[in-house]
Amino acid sequence: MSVLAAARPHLSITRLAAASVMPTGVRHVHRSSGDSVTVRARREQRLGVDPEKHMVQPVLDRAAQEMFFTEIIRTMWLVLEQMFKPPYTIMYPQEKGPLSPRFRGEHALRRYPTGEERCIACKLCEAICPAQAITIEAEPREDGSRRTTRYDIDMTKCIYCGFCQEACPVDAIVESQNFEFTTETREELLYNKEKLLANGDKWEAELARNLKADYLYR
Amino acid sequence: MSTWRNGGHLATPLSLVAVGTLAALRQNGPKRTLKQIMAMDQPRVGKHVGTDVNGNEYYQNDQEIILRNRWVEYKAWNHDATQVPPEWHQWLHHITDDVPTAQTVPTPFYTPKHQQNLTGSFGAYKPYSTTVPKYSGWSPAVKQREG
Repeated sequence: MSVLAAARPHLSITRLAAASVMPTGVRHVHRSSGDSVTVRARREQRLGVDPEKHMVQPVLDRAAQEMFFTEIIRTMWLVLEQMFKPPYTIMYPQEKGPLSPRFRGEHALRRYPTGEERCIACKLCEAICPAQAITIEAEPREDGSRRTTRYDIDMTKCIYCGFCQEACPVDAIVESQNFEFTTETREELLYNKEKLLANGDKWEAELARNLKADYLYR
Repeated sequence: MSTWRNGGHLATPLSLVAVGTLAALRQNGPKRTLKQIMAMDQPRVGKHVGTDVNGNEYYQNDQEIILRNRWVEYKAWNHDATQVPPEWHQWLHHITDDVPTAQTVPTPFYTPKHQQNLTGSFGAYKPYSTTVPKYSGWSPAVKQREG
């Protein structure tokens, strides 16, 4: 402590004042000897000078260091400022937080502009799904094209990793930006093909625009 | 003193509660101002950007804090976040700055009229199998006894 007090005499207001009247104006140099304070402190320690003599401090100075009352006043001013500002709280559902065009939310099966469903039942999404939430069954349709007869996603299993939309070669299964598909019952989260196609029809306006905005980065 | 509002500039007078309320009363009238206070805890002044098919009105005021500068005033009294149709959903979530219009939004013929999340009502989705069952239950047919 003695070394510290001696090494930083400018912490004290009286010493500051004394230092400021010095002709040189350099605070680090001792008044009488002209030594640097570190040298002086080391010398005093070596000679066994009583360290308590440096501990004497003006009362106000001590209070300023120990009570930090300027900090208290500044904090109170900050609180006062906040009282005249609107709160930084997003008032859902009137206001909503930001989302990325790549946000992975509720699943949807898309269609071609002709209305034909895109999914060709290649089952790549079913294969890559780490949660094994997708179940697909397929058979040739009457016109000979290969389509799914069952496309189920268990939304309670899904971890929303987005691998299914990465794997899809025809951009059929996508994750829309909708996260507001909460349900009252658990069974409503067991999506079948009709539900997924209905999602796609509903969100196509947004899906198409997001894909268009993002296609250069995919 | 610097603030986080408006990127560090001084707070605009609208941030003061009294001034903001007076401005909202002048622009919105007492009824809508009251509705705003009940819905969003504060009166809002902004530019009317558009109205969707459900009659919800969308407003923007870039003097507000960032990410609070766009908001919707729902038409229905029992309003729900899912009543926002996809194109306005995109705008409201700050995914795009493009205000949706008939020219910019693709409207495929198969897109139905927007409906809110119907869970908890009779219109809620009920899962069912889209395939024919691969096995059928055993129906015991009792043969008539001869003789």
